[in-house]
Amino acid sequence: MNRGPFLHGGRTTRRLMVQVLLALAPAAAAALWRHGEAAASLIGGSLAAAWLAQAAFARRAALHESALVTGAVLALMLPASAPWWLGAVGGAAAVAFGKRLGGGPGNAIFNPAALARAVLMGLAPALLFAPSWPADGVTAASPLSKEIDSVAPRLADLLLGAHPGSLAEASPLAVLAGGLLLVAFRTVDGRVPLVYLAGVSFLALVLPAGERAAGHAPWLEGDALVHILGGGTLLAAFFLLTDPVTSPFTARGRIAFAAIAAAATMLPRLYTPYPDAAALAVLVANAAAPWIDRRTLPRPHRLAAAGS
Amino acid sequence: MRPHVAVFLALAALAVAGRPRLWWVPALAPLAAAALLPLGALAPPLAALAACVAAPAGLAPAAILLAVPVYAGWAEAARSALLWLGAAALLGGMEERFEEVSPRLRGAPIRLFAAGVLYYALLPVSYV
Repeated sequence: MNRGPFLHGGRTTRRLMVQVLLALAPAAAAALWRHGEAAASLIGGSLAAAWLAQAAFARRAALHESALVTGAVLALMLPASAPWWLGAVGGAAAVAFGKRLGGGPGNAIFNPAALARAVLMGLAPALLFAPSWPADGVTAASPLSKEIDSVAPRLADLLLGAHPGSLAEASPLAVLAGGLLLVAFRTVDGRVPLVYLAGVSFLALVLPAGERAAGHAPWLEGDALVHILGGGTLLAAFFLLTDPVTSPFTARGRIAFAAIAAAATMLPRLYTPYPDAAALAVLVANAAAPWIDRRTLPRPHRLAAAGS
Repeated sequence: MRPHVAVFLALAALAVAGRPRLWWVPALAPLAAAALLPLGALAPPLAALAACVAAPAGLAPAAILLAVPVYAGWAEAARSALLWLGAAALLGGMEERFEEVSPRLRGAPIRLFAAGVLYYALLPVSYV
């Protein structure tokens, strides 16, 4: 962070939020193309509930776009097999718990969409962890799952989303395209996704897999591409960790923040039965953000923050 | 009571009671409980008693909660101790941020909320 005085860059919160919504459009379109009505009802339910909750809580219309962003990101984190009401409950929880209870507008401590995902994990774990293939009756294991019937994913399947998973997994390339758009327009700090993805790749290559992963899903060891294209990695990299409210202020701090998130993503994938913990990793990194700020903010800012 | 639940109930107790200088001391309670495991059924009450006597003022509830679960062995006790240290450090690191939230939420409510979020965020640790 530089020291003031500052010039207004002409960017408003509303404009930034509209840019993020546009960047989410390719991923949403890919989810609709692959999952059809199921994706439409999940996205619609989540968007509507988040918007209504925001409208009920806040009178300022400028904040409504941020609720739509939260609702859209949350919907993309949900499995395609989830019922529409799960998206609606999640959208409302994201605004109620993530934005209002979690600190108030502009002061959220945890990313609202990641928080809502965690709330839904607590409320309906079976709906999030045991996704089935609803459309054509074909069953297959998620590329990150460590079950007895897990099968090694092919690269083409990963790219085309031909396996059960979240809506965002319908097309990792669409998520990547939207994310790169945000980086190109300098809506987000490109170092965060870069460090996070580099960290995930590095840990995937160097860490030995735990007993369960090595036994049931040996491809999780030493294959960075599976970890980047599978699960919520790309969505977390570009749309969750780049949230300016819940990430550190300084560039140095954001690099540490992304590295912590990468470790918190990879350790559960390799050493626990969890198929994916990208959303939980975001929450862990959010919790570490104030600690990182204390160590990376220039001294005058630190003194001001400490009330000196 | 599962060790993960005990750690976060202890964290909730810390959130309500405030954060004394020796906040790390309850991390010794799981280790004490593991050391007393050979005593069988007597271990949990004895560990709780020892934790209560040894813990500094204000930290006794957290120490008792950490001493009560029946740990499977030293590894699980050490993991709970580390989880307590990590989660309590994260919660303490957020204190400055808690000052910025709306006045109605400041203090115990926002601390309890953050502890609840950390419960889920760190849940994979209990499955290692």
